Amino acid sequence: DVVGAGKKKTGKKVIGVMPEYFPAEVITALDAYPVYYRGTQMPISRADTYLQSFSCTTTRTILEQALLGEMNDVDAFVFTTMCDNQQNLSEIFRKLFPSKPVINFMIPFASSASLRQEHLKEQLGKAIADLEKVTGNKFTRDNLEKSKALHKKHIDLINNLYAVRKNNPKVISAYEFYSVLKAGSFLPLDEYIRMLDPVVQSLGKKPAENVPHRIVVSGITPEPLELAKVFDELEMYIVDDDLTSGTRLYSKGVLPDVDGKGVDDFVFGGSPCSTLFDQAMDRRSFLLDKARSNKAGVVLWQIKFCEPEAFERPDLINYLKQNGIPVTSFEVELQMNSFEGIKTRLQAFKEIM
Amino acid sequence: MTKFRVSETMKEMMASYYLEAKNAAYNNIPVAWITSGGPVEFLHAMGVIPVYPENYAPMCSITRVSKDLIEVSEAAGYSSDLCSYARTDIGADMTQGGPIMGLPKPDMLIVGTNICHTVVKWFDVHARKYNVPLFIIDMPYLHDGMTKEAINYVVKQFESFKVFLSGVLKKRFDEEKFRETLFLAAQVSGLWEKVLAMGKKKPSPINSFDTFIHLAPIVTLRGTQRAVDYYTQFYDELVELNTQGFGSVPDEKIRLLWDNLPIWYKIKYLSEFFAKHKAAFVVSTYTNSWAAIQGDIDTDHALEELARAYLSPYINRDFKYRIEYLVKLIEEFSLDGIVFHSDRSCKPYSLGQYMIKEEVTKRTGKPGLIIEADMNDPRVFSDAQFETRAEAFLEGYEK
Ligand code: SF4
Ligand code: SF4
Repeated sequence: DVVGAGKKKTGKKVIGVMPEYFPAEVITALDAYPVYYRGTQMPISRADTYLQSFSCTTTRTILEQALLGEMNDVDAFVFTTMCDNQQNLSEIFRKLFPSKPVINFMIPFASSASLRQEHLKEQLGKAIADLEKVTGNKFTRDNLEKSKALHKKHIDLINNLYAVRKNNPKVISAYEFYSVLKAGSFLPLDEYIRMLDPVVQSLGKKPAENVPHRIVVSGITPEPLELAKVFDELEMYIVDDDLTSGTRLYSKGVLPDVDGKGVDDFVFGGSPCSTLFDQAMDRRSFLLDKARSNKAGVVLWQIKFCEPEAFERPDLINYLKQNGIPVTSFEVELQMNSFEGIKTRLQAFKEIM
Repeated sequence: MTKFRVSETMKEMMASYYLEAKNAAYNNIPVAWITSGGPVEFLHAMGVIPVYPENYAPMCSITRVSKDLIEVSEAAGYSSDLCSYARTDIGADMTQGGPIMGLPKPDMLIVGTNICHTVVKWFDVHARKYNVPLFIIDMPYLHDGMTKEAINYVVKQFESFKVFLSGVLKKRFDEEKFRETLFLAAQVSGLWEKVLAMGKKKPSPINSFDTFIHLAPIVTLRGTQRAVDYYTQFYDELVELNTQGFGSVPDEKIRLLWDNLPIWYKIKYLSEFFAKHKAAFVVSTYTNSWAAIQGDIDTDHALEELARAYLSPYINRDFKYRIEYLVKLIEEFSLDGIVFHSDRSCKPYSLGQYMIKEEVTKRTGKPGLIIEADMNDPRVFSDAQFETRAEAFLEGYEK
């Protein structure tokens, strides 16, 4: 029970972030402990009482974890409206766990940039006020700056880790890489940084080796995590990603400020994401550049029933193909534990690459 | 389903609407594709013909071509887990298929998020294909009830929508025509509310299968005089029928609520099935949503009222509200129970229904039945499974 232990050690209130794009800098600034729930590989049974099987398994496993008591140490939840599944899950949490505040951070879809900023500022202001109540702490500029410095260290380390892998893909397996990333979603931040720093340093010192079969994975989150082992077994090297819980998040950098522009730069900054709408973002050319610069093929690691990704998939695949990039896709459910079908598919892809 | 005198009028009206839309380019009239919860009043004010993929998709379903169109879009890579309206629409667009051989090409795409986030992604597919402007009016889900902030946010977007329209159409926004349209639209929604309220009568002269069909004009022609005339006639006919003691389901015994979208390709079958069991759907959360779009426009705050109205549909409301609303409808319409269509396509409507059902039953003692299906994809529906469950549910009332 990492979260329980972390809570005990730090004595801080735990804020569950469901699942992405709420600026955690704010939570740290309030001297609270952010934990991310992004769905995880596990069997689903209790959640079926509340969620139909056509809800995505990210949503279903998050609920399953909560029903199993794995979120007992969480003091409040912050939901972002990335999609209809999360929107309704937030309501389900409110009903099921009435003693825990559910704060909604609504990501705007407005076409007008200035209105988007205004809305974000107001949303964050409200969330901060609610979090002040939960934590009993006051939000101050001083604390925000300290928090930003800590988060910057974290993000720099993650970005270094990405750079090390890109330069020397053999240095860390896909399974290890994403396990390290995942640890960051539930460890207390300073502890995580202490753990991560020497790892990145020592990996960076190893001599680089060239590899064939370089892959960029794209999608929401690399779950079920065990599936990463299939890439390792097949010696298909993930050199970079376009994942919501990966570079889409870390490319945003640190929250610049809590004013409208600052929050907007944070949420809509960085690489394009299927769950955000911004006319200026073009995931197709972004991914093409990423594949080209990495000399890699693209694997769309997709979660079944994820509408934001599924709507973009056909155009994306066609576009990449037309531009000579090898591309394939598969769909997973997070409770899966047999990957034979996907393995065969990846093997075939490796051969044509 | 009930044969009303006005049914013919509606057919003619819809045919002429689609004819106008199909001829729009020829007549130099701009066309916008718009979502069902989009603020169409602005388009009417600027002489744009609004076209609704969410109306065309059910038309394809009723005329039994949705399956083929869905398969076309799936073959093009659109996942079978996507909203089946989107799959039908994308298939119809690719093949120019369906009863009117495809929708007329859009000059712009207008999305309101008050129904789901799906529509953003779906219309974005069209924006890429047609390379036309896409304007989104974000009408956020009301997790904490109606708030001043949400209203302000939408009002400001309405203002920028006007600017967008004048930019695209290269003419001034016609405020006068806009006011007129608002007035007509509010009238239509008010009339629709009166039509739906006839479901309170015992027996009810109208049932939800009827209202699903007669919803088409309020979706597509809200804000026009023809729609006002149509619903006026319709309401008068219902009053007349009620005076004669007419019940849309003969020998009505069980009064039910339908939750979620209709199952379009099974409307006739379901209507006959429930009628056979003397069960009448006298109200539905789905059709009620268009009665909610009713701003009080005779004030200086027309846009605020309009924003409030557009934020109001049931699907945009939190669960506490949904539960209270259902409890209220049970009372007002003297209901015996609720049928929840758990719609595989529509996550925002469906996810949460299980707990809503439990709580409503706990509070009112009225039972609920869940039907697992899909509004437009007939491959998902099993007659045998449905009949077993529904018969068991209805037998409960005989005991
Ligand atoms: S996987 Fe997709 S549908 Fe599921 S919660 Fe994430 S963004 Fe939403
Ligand atoms: S059926 Fe549901 S998901 Fe599909 S467009 Fe309508 S509201 Fe959106």
